[in-house]
Amino acid sequence: MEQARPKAAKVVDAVLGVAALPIWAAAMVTRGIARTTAPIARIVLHPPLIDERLHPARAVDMLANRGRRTRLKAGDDVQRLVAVIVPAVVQEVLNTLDLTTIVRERVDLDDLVATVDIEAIINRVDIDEVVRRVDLDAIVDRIDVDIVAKRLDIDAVADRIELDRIVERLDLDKIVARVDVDAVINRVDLVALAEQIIDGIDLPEIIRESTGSMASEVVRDVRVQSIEADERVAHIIDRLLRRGRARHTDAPGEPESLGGGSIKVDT
Amino acid sequence: MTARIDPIPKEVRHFQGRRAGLITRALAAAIDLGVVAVAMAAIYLGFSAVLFLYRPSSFQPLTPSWELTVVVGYLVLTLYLTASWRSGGRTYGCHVMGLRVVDRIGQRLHVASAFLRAVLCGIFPIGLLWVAISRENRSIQDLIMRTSVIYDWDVRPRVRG
Repeated sequence: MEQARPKAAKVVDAVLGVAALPIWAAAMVTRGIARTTAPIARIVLHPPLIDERLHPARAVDMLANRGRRTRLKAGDDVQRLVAVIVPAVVQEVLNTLDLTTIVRERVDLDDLVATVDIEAIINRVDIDEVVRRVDLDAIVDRIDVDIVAKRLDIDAVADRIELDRIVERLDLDKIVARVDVDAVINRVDLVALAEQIIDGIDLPEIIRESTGSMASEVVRDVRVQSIEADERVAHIIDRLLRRGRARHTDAPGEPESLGGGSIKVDT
Repeated sequence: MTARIDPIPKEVRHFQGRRAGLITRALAAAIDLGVVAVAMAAIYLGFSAVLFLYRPSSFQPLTPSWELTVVVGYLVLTLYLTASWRSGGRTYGCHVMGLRVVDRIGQRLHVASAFLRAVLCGIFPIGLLWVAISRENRSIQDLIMRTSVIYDWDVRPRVRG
């Protein structure tokens, strides 16, 4: 494909050479005629023995002047005409053309951009001046903080926070000094809290283990085992009597149940 | 506003305030019988000591009749039960087994109720077995007197009155 192009060019050049031959020949003939007729034309335009004012050359000069004036005038008219017509024509042409497509297809934008010295453009921009012109308040007013907050990955932010460093910089003594400890204590239900703690660590059991006598341990075991025996006996009797429902053993004047633990009874 | 440590083990808190079963009550009754027996022995020894001090020369060991022993024993039992149920709602047997006797509204027995219940318990002790049959863990005496025997391990009574 690439080799075909020089061949085509050579053919075109040959055709043009053939076409130029008559023109060259005409030019040579004209030049020969002009060279031959030049003395004759000089005698005709400037005949000897005749007053110079009556020379035909003078008439020729006058005609040339008139022709030049006419040409100049016509040139002005043409320029005016062009000034009127060309914009309209160009406008019409542009309207019919899809310049964007043409540029996209014909222009190598990458190559064009590669030639642009972006560094030089940046250097010419006064960033401070640009920033100074920005109305940050207006921008902030237009931002929907809720949407921004929803899109925030709080976990990721938290992961990036170095809490140790923050804590190291905190003056905890100062913070604690500003806390109204009495008010905090007043708001805490200390009794309920103490009961919860005692419940959690089973303090009665600890007290029993540390101070309980052998006798009290034996009594406790006997009581527990007798309760288990009660349950077992009741269960057996209820099964013998084919009772479906559990016994109603709630004491009078007592809440339905105090909740809590239960003894597993194997039957 | 005072906090109170519940001395009762977690695993049996659920049972506190509920009517006790047959085994626990029978054990308590057995202990009470032992108490009465000890009391009878103490009475016998005390009476013998008084007689010995009064007439040492003619002193002979007492040989009370069976009927007298039963009658005295019944009287001691009735007195003991009445006094115990009226005073703290529990006999020594109930105390050991963690039981308490309450009336129909969960309060300590009136002296008359305590006495009548004691009389019934002495006359018809086998009525205790009805606890095993009853859906509400009640003995015959409980049904007649409308009383209940509840698990109550706390030293302080759960009832007022």
